[in-house]
Amino acid sequence: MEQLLKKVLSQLSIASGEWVGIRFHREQTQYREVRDSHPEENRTVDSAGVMIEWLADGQFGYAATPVVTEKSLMETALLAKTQAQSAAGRALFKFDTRCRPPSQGRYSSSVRTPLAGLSEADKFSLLLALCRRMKTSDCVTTTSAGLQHVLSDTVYVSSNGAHFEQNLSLVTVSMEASGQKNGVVQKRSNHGLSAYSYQGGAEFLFVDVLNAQADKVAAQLHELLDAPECPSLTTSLVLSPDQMMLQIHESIGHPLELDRILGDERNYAGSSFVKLEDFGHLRYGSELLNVTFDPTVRHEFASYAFDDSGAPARREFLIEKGILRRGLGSLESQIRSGVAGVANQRASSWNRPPIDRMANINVEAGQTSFNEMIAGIEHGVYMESNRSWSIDDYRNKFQFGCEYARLIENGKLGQVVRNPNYRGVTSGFWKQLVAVGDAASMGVFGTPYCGKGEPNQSIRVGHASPVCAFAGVEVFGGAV
Amino acid sequence: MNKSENLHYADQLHDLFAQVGKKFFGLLKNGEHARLSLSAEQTQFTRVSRGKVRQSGNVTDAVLKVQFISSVHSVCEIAVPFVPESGDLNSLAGELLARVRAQAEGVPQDPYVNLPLQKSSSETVFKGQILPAGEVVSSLLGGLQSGDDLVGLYAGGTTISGLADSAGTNHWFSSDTFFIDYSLWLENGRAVKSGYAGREWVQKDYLETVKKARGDLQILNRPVKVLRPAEYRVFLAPSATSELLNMFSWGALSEGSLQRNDSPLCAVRKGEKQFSKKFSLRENYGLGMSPRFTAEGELSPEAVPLIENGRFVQALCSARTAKEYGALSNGSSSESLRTPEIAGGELQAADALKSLGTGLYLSDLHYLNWSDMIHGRVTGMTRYGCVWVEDGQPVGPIQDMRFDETIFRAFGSELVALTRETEIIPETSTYVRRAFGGARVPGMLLERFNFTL
Repeated sequence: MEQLLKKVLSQLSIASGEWVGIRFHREQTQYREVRDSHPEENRTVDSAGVMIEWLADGQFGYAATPVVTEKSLMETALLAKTQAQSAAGRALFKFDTRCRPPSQGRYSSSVRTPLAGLSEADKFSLLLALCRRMKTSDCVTTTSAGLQHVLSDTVYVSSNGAHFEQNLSLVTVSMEASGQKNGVVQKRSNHGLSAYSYQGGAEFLFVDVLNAQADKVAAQLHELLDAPECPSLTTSLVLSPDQMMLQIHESIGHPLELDRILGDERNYAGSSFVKLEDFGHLRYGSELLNVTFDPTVRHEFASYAFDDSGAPARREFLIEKGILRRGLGSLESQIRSGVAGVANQRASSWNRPPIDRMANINVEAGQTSFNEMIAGIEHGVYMESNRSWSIDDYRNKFQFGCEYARLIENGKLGQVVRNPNYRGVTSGFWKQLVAVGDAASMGVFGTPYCGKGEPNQSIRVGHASPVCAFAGVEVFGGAV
Repeated sequence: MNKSENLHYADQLHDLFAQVGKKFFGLLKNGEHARLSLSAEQTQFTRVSRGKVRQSGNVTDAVLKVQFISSVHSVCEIAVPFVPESGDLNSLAGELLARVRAQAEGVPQDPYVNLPLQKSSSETVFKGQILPAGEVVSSLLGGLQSGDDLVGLYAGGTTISGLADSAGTNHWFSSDTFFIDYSLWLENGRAVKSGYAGREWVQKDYLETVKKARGDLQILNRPVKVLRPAEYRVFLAPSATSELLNMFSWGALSEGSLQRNDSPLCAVRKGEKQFSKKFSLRENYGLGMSPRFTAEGELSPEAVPLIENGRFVQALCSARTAKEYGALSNGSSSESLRTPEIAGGELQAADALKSLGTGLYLSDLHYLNWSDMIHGRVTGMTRYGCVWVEDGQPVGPIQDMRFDETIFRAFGSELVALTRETEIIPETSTYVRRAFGGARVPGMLLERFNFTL
């Protein structure tokens, strides 16, 4: 593929000051799912194509095609050039080749055991066994288990000498049980919607680990069916890593995206309460809050070596001791804004242009053990696993719901409660962070589904976090 | 691309799709069944920010999907790029069949798969006058005034959907359409949402939408009204109604969800709860925005009544769910709304503010999600041009507020009136590819709507 792309590049008439980049992307996604005792999905999606960007008169134009032949790529390149030329006179910003560094290298996911060794029968056997394991009583009405495996290959070359290749292997395992008892309907899953998502291989399908998750799902579903509603009160809130994932994503990740702050997303995903002048001094959270953009974590879902502009990916602090330091902005956004950013210009596939995205956005571990954290709280609520999420277009007023919660009473975990929700305002919420869990309390999760952009793009992100405690949060239950 | 190129692409794919189907189905052994579907588009995407071009490009994409049912009813699906230039269709058909046979090997029998046994056919082609690529930027931005902070996306071109099966079914839908989904902004961070969509671009009509949006912005320059969280009388403009209606697609109207007791409408079907008699909802394929055929080769009725005068009529039911639970399919493979229509009421849209009296005019809602699904409780935010109204007169924009309210109150006990006029809200989703569909909805006047933050 590299040779074909370079051959096309060599045949293009690229004027001085112009630039051309060609990104080949091939992805195979396997979806396998069972519900109760039968197969529900056995689908494989192959996607392959080429995105060509042409920089002319300071404007990037793009064109994308699934026809990967020399003739087609030559035509597609010229189409991209025409796009750039027809838009250049009314361009939002005049870009140059600083936005497309000539990076070279290779990145591959760390895979201990490839999934290729598993037959289709093996996969369905595993998933059916998990469903059977979750079906522990007649109260369990529905069980489902799913496996998603992605192999993703990118080859990128450019007229200024970039050449890198990235090969990803990604695994997501989902399981969920629904139940009913005395008119109460509840669901429990393994960490929330598709949160058990990692780079790697069959090592994330260890039967003992998955069985333990299935047992926990079933046991906690029964606890929820007998539990009272979460009470309505303002109290201490402790969030597990699988809910911190969502809290980080919605109220740190999105508001720090520089393209939102610059206004590009105002018509779709929204803007941000953060302003360009806030970087460097805004107190975003309490002194306990340290947040990194970290594409180097070995098995985290959105690790990579280069973004889709060719920028080398490095770990960077976004928030240090509660102070906002750096934005989630690509080289394009950094040049437009003058704000320091990261290597996050990413595209969901070959048929979408790269834009500012999250990757792995992590809260760094603190000093407090989980037991110490709970022991230090007289009254509060501990919540796990996201089930509902909503936040305003400036990323301030949020309301999130969880699958499972327990009251904290006199320093101990107590009564299980159902339908737990909480709401708050981002600009104040992170300042109410009063304890950050230690490394032992860390959890690493991810999701294949972060939506943004016009045209729309759904992309993979990762979030790692310890358990965290917040003071004075409004929590409440379901049905009024 | 221009119109003739669009049509050429659609015609070319139509022919190739028919050829590959013939070859593929001809290779099947006795007892094997299959469906082939095609999803394709050629689309010009131009993204605008601050009245200037942020990104502009062209995407051609075509995906061929095979659903294979083995002789022992093991099922699998494989989707691959459908590349006409790939040449030998015999090889493509043979390779695909070998892959699906291998992927179905050892997979447990699927008891709920529907075999393609009956053949049906349809062909729907909507031709349009889409802007040539070279004219898009000047058409979008040429008529703007200095200082117009317009943000949004233009998408225009041909979208294609085809389906064929081993029983002889053949369906084809292609449509030349465009939309520009945009908002116009003030420096104070307030905005009016607008858009223009159709099959034939008329510059004057597009600029009329911008002129109206510019006029609607003026009220948003007034001082902001900060309201305390409480219940307020509200008027939902059609775009806000459409957002609330979308929640019915999140499991609520799914026959499968109802059968599994996962839907808030379980109580409605049992007669324990009901909507207002003013509320009638149906799928209306007569709007011409979505193919009538499904992934399973069924042809939906032209209209599917779901709720009539507040009473539950039927849920959206796929052939698969129908087989599993002994229900009656109505041709909804996803069991979510594709082309919904809420019947209009008696309120003249021009009298909306007067009828509201004192309360909130909500132009748009944002980021809705169930806060307690089984009880039909939804949370979300106000967005764009939402205005405080006193005695029928707009006072000024509100600070955005969070609501937490049930669909049973919004479409039931608190529903005062629906506007006589209804608006088409086109589907503008472009995840993976441009989506089909859209909704036709009225505005809604509600006595109380619960705000919490």
